[in-house]
Amino acid sequence: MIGALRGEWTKQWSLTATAWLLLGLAVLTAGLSALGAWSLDGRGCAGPADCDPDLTRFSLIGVYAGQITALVLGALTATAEYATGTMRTTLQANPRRATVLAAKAAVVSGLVLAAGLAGVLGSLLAGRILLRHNGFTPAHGYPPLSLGDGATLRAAAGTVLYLALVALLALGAGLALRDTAATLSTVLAVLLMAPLLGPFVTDPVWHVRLERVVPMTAGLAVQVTKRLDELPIAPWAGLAVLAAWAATGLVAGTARFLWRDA
Amino acid sequence: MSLRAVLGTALVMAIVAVLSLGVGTLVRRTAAAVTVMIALVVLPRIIGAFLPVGAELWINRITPLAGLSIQQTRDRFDYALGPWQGLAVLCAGAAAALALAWWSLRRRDT
Repeated sequence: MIGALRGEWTKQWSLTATAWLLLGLAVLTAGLSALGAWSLDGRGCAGPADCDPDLTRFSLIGVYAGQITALVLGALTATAEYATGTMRTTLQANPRRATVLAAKAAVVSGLVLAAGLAGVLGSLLAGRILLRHNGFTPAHGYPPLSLGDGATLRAAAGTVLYLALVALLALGAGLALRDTAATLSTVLAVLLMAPLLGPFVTDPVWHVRLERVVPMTAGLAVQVTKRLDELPIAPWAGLAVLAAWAATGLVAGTARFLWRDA
Repeated sequence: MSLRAVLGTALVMAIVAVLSLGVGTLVRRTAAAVTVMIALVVLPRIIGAFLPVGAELWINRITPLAGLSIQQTRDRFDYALGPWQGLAVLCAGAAAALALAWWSLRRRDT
């Protein structure tokens, strides 16, 4: 297993895309989050009784961009090897396919967790500074963002886990489909279709059902820190829905990986 | 006006494909091209829904989403752009991508 991990580590970093994607993951997440926080103006607000935006969620909005890079990294971990034929060499060197798969999953989730953590911490830092600058000051009744706050900590940790689960979902789909373009289009469709279709589903009951089962809306419930009773699904339960999606993708990928020729 | 919306929508898809061709030629990698196009075309709409109205208006003005203004059949105060202006923004983006692609294709090997 150690050898397989080292092999996957070396192969991962021999792709030029890896470093760029991890850098993009951290920078896009923090950058878009900063834009989100910057666009929120609280100077007209008398206090939380007057307007009470979910400041934590606003400061983590960058995950919408960051998740795309996590997704591409997860997909490439599988499909890049099929595109070049390296997969055959890999399996000659290590015929135990389950070990190869576990090593791939471990390496890609470890990398995404690290880059995601950097992005999320950067987002919260930017939010803390910019929101205060925009009038959400303690004097007006808005305490600064802090990981000491239980809900904010849950949102931050949940966002990092969300990114890793998206990468694992893409890894599973990549192993099942073995083609970069097909994998990216499929996973992106699954991930993004709900928020795009959502406005057209007018029946409120079905709207809530849709938001409960679709990986992105369910998974990102973990970011919400205010008005939790209005959520379609509870924060950790939502992340569990995404985990179930990732598990399904991985099972499909594993099935094809174990029982079909490379 | 409905006819404009119907034909315009087809036109928008075609121009997005051309934009995509330009981006693909520039970056020369499937994964990178798909990522960039998704980030340009799909993501802004999702993010825009969370942002204040002013920020969303600007997203609808400068991203390729502006092209969808061609679908408007009423004149409303909260629309970011007129139908043809929006299409012009998308066309300008596609033209810029193609020009860059042409330039880089001549400059680089393969």
